[in-house]
Amino acid sequence: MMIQFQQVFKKYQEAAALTDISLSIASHELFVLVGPSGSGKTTLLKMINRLNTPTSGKVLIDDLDVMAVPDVREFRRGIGYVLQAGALFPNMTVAENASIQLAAQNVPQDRRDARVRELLNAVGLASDKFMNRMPNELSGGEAQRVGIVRALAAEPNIVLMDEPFSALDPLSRRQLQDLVVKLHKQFNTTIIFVTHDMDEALRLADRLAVIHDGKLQQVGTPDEILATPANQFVAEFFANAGRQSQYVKSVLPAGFGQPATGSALVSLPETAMLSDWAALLQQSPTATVGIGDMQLAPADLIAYLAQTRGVQ
Amino acid sequence: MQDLTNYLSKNGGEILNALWQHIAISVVATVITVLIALPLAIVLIDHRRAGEAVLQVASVIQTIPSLAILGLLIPLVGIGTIPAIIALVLYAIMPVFSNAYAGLTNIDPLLVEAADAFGVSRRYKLFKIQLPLAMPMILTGLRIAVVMVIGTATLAALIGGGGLGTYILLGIQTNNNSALFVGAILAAVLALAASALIKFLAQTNLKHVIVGLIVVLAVGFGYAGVRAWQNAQHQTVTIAGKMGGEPEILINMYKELIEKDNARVTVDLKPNFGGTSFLFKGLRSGKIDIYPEFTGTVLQSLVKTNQSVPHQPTRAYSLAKKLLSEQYAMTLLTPMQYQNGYMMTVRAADAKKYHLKSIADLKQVPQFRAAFDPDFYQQSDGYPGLKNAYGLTFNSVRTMEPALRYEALAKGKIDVTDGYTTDPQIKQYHLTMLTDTQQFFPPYQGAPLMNTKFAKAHPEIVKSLNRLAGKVTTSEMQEMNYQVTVKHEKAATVAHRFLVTHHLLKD
Repeated sequence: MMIQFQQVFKKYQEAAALTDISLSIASHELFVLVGPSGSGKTTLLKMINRLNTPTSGKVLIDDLDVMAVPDVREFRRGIGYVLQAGALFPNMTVAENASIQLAAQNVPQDRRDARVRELLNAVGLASDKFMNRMPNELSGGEAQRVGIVRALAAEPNIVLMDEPFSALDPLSRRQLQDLVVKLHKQFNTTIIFVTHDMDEALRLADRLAVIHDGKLQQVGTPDEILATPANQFVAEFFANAGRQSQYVKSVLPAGFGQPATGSALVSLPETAMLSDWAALLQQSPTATVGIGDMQLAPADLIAYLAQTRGVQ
Repeated sequence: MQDLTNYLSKNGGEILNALWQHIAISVVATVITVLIALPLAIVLIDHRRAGEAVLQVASVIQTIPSLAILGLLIPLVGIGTIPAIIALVLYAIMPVFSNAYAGLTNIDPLLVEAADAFGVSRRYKLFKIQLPLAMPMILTGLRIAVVMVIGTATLAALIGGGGLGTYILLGIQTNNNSALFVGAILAAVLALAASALIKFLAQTNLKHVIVGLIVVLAVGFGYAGVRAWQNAQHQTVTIAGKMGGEPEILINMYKELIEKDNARVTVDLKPNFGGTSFLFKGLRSGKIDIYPEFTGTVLQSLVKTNQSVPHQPTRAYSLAKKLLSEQYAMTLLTPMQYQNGYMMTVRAADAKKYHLKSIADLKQVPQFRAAFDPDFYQQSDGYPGLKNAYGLTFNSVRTMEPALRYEALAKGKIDVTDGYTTDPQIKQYHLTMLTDTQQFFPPYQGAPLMNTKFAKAHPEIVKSLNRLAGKVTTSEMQEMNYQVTVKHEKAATVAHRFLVTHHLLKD
């Protein structure tokens, strides 16, 4: 299920919420929309299942304009959705909550129950114990696991997750992030995940899009974005990510390297890590490496590492 | 307490009837309210501005005094149960709507978004998500409304709607504390019970509540249908009476006379129906067929005339009859003998001591302390006129609450006061009425009043009623009022006894 945003604009009164967003999300990708609060990332997410609509531009799912779907309810029944803090209906049991899309699709009760049991077990909740619990009897982490089961119950091709773990304690958050990665591999769905937490974004994303002030700042894999931030904002947003100074590319701004002369260079990709460089030097200790149009000598690695001592 | 148990054992059946009537009015009003307010709140969930507007209108209606609403409704829908229910519905809409609306619009927006995102049907969203989540608020509104409806339904009695209010009114009018207690306590108990019932229902399944409601409605409508069918088999004549014991005795006499003579006619009595204008409007709109009215009241309040009220009773009756016929196409039948007009009274002991027989004799006792009803003290046909006509002077004249003056006279706090000729207190406190030799007070003779159209269509009923013409003396009426108001006998019993004793009816 490929999702495409084509020149999407969103205006509220005269204020621009989203400006000229064009973006492609590949099938089976775990794609993260990341940015500070109010950046427009949730607005963008909700355009996928038409909870929000663009002022201009198009959102396509497999080349089909979502604004052109004949029955919006039917359309939404095929898309999973995980909301903040679970957002379980307090008047329904876990099983009723989890099977809401199956009920809307008129799936028979026994098949609904079987599916919900299977998924509850898959997210680490013993189905016998949890099926008939009420939401107020669940911890935050348990509630959000049920929220994930609810999103997956109808076997959707696309699952949208809107800051699902922001209200959880760090330990539960970590466990659920691992669960999302595991389930993504297991069910092979396209997942679009919204967060303002850069660590979460880096941990989960196959690829991520950084959004700020309604504008797309950069799209890429975590390595690409850390190694080659497109602008000041992206660099600062991920400044505390910790992994940044581990890239070969970050040696250059520290004042090392010379313009490439073209002789005896071993080219490294822009996302190469310092460890990649060290491994290279282990094999050929005098190798000069080229990155972009700059070259780095073996002594630069030692000098750079000595300089960053104490910083980390 | 003794009085209360006596009263209960004597009137048990009627009280139970009034209780059922009260419940029926309240249930119907509440159900209609819910059927209006809840769908309205649901429809307006996504139209906040319209919702606010409805809330404003409902609040404004709420601020209108209930009596004023009843008054406004009479020209539109007449009197009886229907305007009472309309008034109650108008009142109850505000708490039901505002709570339901608040409940439905204050659902966590995240949950509403979730429902939308999962693509559930509109019906599923409403019945499985919005209504259950708003239910505590909806039930709170319902409880407030039910308690209010049961309380306000006591006012239904004022416009002939029946219910427990009848006993409260009766109690106030006839100074009968037992009746007052019965009405007030039952209404309070009913309100508490209904509130508890709703609380109980709130903890049970929504589906069961709805099914229960439907069953109750079906039974209610079925019962009403059977009643309507039964009524259709019979001709029903509605006779109403003003507040108090005396009109109730009179209409009971009417009922017995009519029903004895005409087997297929059923008389529906509405005692303590309201004031003169309520009844007169009711008669004009055809909601009631007959009520007893006084010649003096006709001439002073109902018809338009430049002439002064004749002091001679037969001339007063002729004029009243003529003007009613001309101005309203109504027929006033021949009055009974007794007068229920103003009179002056003193203690029997004083009357004997000072040889007081007529009002003129009061000139000889200027040392008497007089106390009058404030209206009587001011009106030209009251004390000021009387003073001129008889040349009276008293050393001390003051006004006094009508309810207190008889007791004050009996206890010697005052020596002379005004009153009505058939007041039972005259007998109760052994008072002497003074003759109005100059016929200063306008004559007040009671007679059945009806539309001429009705009189022509029912000559047999006119004939039955005319058997009371010229009957019932002032002292007889006083005696009957005494039995009802002071001794708390049932008006029907007293009326029946009188008719049998005077051979107007075979026992």
